[in-house]
Amino acid sequence: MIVLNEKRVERFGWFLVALLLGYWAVYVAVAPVTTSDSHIYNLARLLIAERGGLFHNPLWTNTHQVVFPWGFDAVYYPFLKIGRFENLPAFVCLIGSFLCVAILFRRGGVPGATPLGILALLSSPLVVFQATCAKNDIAVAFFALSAFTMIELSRDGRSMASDLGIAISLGMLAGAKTSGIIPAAILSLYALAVKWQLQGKMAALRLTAMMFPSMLLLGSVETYLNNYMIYGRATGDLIFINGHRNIDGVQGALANLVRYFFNSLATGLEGPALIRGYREDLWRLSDSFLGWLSLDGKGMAPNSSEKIFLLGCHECASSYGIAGLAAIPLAAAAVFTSGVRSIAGRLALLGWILLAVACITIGWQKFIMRLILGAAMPLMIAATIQAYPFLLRRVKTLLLVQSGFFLLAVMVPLCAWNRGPRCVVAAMKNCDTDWIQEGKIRENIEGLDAAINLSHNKSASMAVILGPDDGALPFLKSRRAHWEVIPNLGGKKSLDKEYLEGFLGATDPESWIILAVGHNWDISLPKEAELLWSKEQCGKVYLFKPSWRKVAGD
Amino acid sequence: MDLKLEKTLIGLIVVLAAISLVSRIYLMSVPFLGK
Repeated sequence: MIVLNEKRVERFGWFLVALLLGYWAVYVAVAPVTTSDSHIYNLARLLIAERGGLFHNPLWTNTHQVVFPWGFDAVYYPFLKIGRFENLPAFVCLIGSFLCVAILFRRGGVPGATPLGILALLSSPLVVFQATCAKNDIAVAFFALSAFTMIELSRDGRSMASDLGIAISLGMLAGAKTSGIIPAAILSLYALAVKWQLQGKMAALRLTAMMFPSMLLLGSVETYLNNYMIYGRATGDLIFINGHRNIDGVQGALANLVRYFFNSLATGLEGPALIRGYREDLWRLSDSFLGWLSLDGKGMAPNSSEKIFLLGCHECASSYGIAGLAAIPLAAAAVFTSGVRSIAGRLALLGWILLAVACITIGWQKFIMRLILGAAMPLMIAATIQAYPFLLRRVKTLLLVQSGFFLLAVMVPLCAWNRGPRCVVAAMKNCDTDWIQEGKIRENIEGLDAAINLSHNKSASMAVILGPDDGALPFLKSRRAHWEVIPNLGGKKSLDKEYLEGFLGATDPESWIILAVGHNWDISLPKEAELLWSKEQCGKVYLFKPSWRKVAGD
Repeated sequence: MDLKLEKTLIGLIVVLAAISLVSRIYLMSVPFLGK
């Protein structure tokens, strides 16, 4: 008979972790870019910069491509070039976060809780979705966590290596995403305070000397310079920024905190049919509660048209699941019971501070839950450290909780419409993977496929007209070697001959296949463009012969 | 074990930072490379 003890449960936990990580590693190795944000700006901006650089580039198709820092987007570039493993950098951030968990749990005196902590994170749909798509939210969470871990390690008076780790983590955190800038500033001050207090002024100065160049080199400073050159402000287009931030101050922040809480009252695994009524009821309940607090309508992002909770297994929204919900009281308890004396308390405090920063700065919109990943992960990890000693008192309960998280983690790919085994098999065979894309990207891809076929048939070069909400450039990159972008950033309804020729270049081939894709599908082109293919709400493909060719022929 | 985990973590961060830096420098220099 097998005797159940802590060591055996831990070993079993590692086995379950290995199973899950094995599955996700295979997914990441074979899956294409699926997130529409990546198709439209995170990765598309790299392919556009590849043609005209960052500065004075006339080819940008979306404000997001210009305004946001690109420090972590750039990590995807080599993978985009080779056309494989595009989702790998985000997954590496997840693995890095698990390393932080292992280090923090050892220092927190609960090394045996590491598999439980990892399983809890893997059972959270939003954590896993962000770690398996080509976005940068998991990078913010990872670099914040790694900076915190390195600060904890430097408490022992460790080597230059941990100072270097702190400096690089903070530089990458600031450069990864706009929402990482304030967390980077807070963690910088915390790191300097710890250094000064424990190792003296010189140690703090040495860290400053490392942080400064790291911020300059890795903090994506050039995007602020580019913003200044384009918009006259380092932070970018004022209308765009105001459209995404919380404009109601503390009242807006409190209202958003309430919404985050209500948005967490779901497993994140519910199907669309099940969730439809529930999310509306939950939104109404949250609204009535806000009305009772006289915070009705506060904290909304002015530019966001849809605000209601998304829930369900959506890769950019969803929720943090049971582990996320359980982390709320446990992480609060960690702060109240041990304060800053224990790692759990300090980690929970970091999570709450980052959540408060998100509430104050970011206006509410439907995709907002992923933007608090940097706060949610420390809270979940702190909650595991807090709960583990209680679970350890009854090993059977520990085994049950561990197995429960594993089952929830298994449900994530099974309930997600584009992460399941069927999708993995299709991606492995490298066929029929368009169905795993979001609707609007699928339409873009359909138009691109038609244009690629016609350009082969007509032996013509290919160009694509892209507006702010049109994407699929990563798809185009993997299917065709040469293509041009004709940007329609302002969403013009018609483009004249001179405009088209301006982007096609005087030395280029005789005829062009031009695709007006997605939102541009009914754009009007000059009479010289002959319509070859059309599909309503999807795209139109034209054959266009530039005028300089006719002149040369005459 | 702690030291090994710490070294692995620092290695991971350095690799990600290096890829980011090289890619950004390359993409910014594209107009000067005459691509």
